[in-house]
Amino acid sequence: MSEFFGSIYCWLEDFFGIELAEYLWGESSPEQLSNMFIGIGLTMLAISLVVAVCYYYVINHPRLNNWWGWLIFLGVNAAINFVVGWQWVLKDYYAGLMVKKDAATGKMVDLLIYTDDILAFGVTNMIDAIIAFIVFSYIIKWRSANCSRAPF
Amino acid sequence: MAKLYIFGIGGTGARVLRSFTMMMSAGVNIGADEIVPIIIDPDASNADLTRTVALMNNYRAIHSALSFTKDNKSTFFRKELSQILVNYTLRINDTDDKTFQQFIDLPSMDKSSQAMMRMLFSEKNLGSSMDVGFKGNPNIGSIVLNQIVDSNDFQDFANNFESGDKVFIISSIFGGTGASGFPLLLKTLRTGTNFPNNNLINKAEIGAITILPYFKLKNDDESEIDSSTFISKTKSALAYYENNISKNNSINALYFLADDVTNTYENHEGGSAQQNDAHLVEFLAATAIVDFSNKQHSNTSNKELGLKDLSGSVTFDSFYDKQKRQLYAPLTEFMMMANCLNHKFDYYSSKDFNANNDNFNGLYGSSFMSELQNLTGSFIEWLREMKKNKRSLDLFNLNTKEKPFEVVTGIKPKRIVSIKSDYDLVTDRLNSAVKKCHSKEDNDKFLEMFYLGMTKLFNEKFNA
Repeated sequence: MSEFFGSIYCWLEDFFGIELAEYLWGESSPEQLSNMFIGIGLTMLAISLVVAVCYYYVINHPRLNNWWGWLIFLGVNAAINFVVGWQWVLKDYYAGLMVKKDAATGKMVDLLIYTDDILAFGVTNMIDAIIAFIVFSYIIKWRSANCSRAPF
Repeated sequence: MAKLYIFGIGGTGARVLRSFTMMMSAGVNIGADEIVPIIIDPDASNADLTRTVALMNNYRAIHSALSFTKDNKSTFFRKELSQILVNYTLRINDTDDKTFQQFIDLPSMDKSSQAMMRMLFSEKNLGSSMDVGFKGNPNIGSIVLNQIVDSNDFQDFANNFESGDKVFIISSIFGGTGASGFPLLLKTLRTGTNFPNNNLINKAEIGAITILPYFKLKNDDESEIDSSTFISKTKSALAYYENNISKNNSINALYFLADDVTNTYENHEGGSAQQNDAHLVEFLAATAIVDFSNKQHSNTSNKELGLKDLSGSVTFDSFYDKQKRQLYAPLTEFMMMANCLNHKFDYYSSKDFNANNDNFNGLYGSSFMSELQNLTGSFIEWLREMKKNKRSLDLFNLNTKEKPFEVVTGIKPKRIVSIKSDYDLVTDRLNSAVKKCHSKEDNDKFLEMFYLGMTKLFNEKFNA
């Protein structure tokens, strides 16, 4: 599972940086040794599923049975997941967990991760959420009473 | 399959059949599997008659496109309406292009017979043309309509008659055709022996409604019809009916309808100009047919209809509970469907309406759909005519625009917990209903979807 979640993020690792990718894998900081992709990925999938279920079965509104109605929910899902991915990692940044032991001095030094990288990771989480929403849409839309025709 | 033969005599008969066909369309509960209308009106060009014939053809075109599987519970257009006669009309022999004196062959009578005929019939009566009815003269009608039994059409009716079938006769008491035709027809059905199945027909359960004056006509010196004679004719006819129909048990159920509020119509003797707006009394007369079809009558029952409240327009709340229950749900559900098909057709025939997903391909351009739209449009027009008539039957708000649940006059729809409202709620219920349909064919499925959806909405919004 860790490989799966890692891989769905790391196809854009050039975008948010190798250093941050390794941190999220739990391989670069002695303060953070777990695979963070699993938690973030599961959360992203859960949110996307919930938003899709809301669109197709809870709100299920006849007026939203078109591409733009679906697009609104895709946008909402993307925005939520952007914030979640960004803040999830930014919390570690401000907590000072993104450090490594300097081989020469033996002291802890900051990893070369910048807030822009973390923002880019939020965008990556958003892109993955968009894909997940599209996939969930095509899986669950068929039994929706009012919106099974959306997006197409 | 028990059949109900309905004889509609004269213009009133045709107009009541119009109301009855609307009730059949809406699925008002009728206690017969098959309805066979038979119109008796020598005035074949009478616009009331041609409009009713067109409506019944419209109904049959829709019904014939439906198959009604066992699991399909839809009541819209469920009952079969059969046509056994051309234009549903029983043609009376030898009346085409003839005056009354030619019909009775007055010139060939001996002098004393001629004198007797001139005593009974005025010169105007004798010169009357037979192809526009009897123009308020039951004395002419009673001679001419005595020939009914000899017509091929009557023989066809008798041939079709089976054990368990019932007969209902609609007539007005104050005109010419209905007033004379009803007792003659009843006598023929009860005592006639020179037609097929006469033993079955003689013993059949027969009901009738006789309609007392409910409109007046403008005075017109050129017209033979004078509505000031309606009351005196009614009194004479009632006395005759009492002695010759009620007292001798020749009828199982005799319904009477009357109102003291009357509208005044243009005075047309007949033909294409005789097209009166639908009226409350005709609507109520149609409910008498419904009542008769659902009950057994062993001895003669004389029935009158009462309304709870007559202070203004008649609404659903004016009816007593039993009658309200009979009409409220089917008419309201059908009305809501009619509004969808007439005011929101563009949406419901578009891809945006989710039920069209994998369903109803080609349905919206079909002749079935145009027949359905035509009938639902006629339904709204029929309600509109009754609403503006006097006394007004104001069952529905006919201008609901974007508020489909503000449809029943005087009834505030109940609020339900939903993020959808108005037509979005209608659409939601239809989209849900289409998944529960048992019908396979598109035509059936379309009406079943509306039936299920509208029934649910009626229960949510209007059912107490």
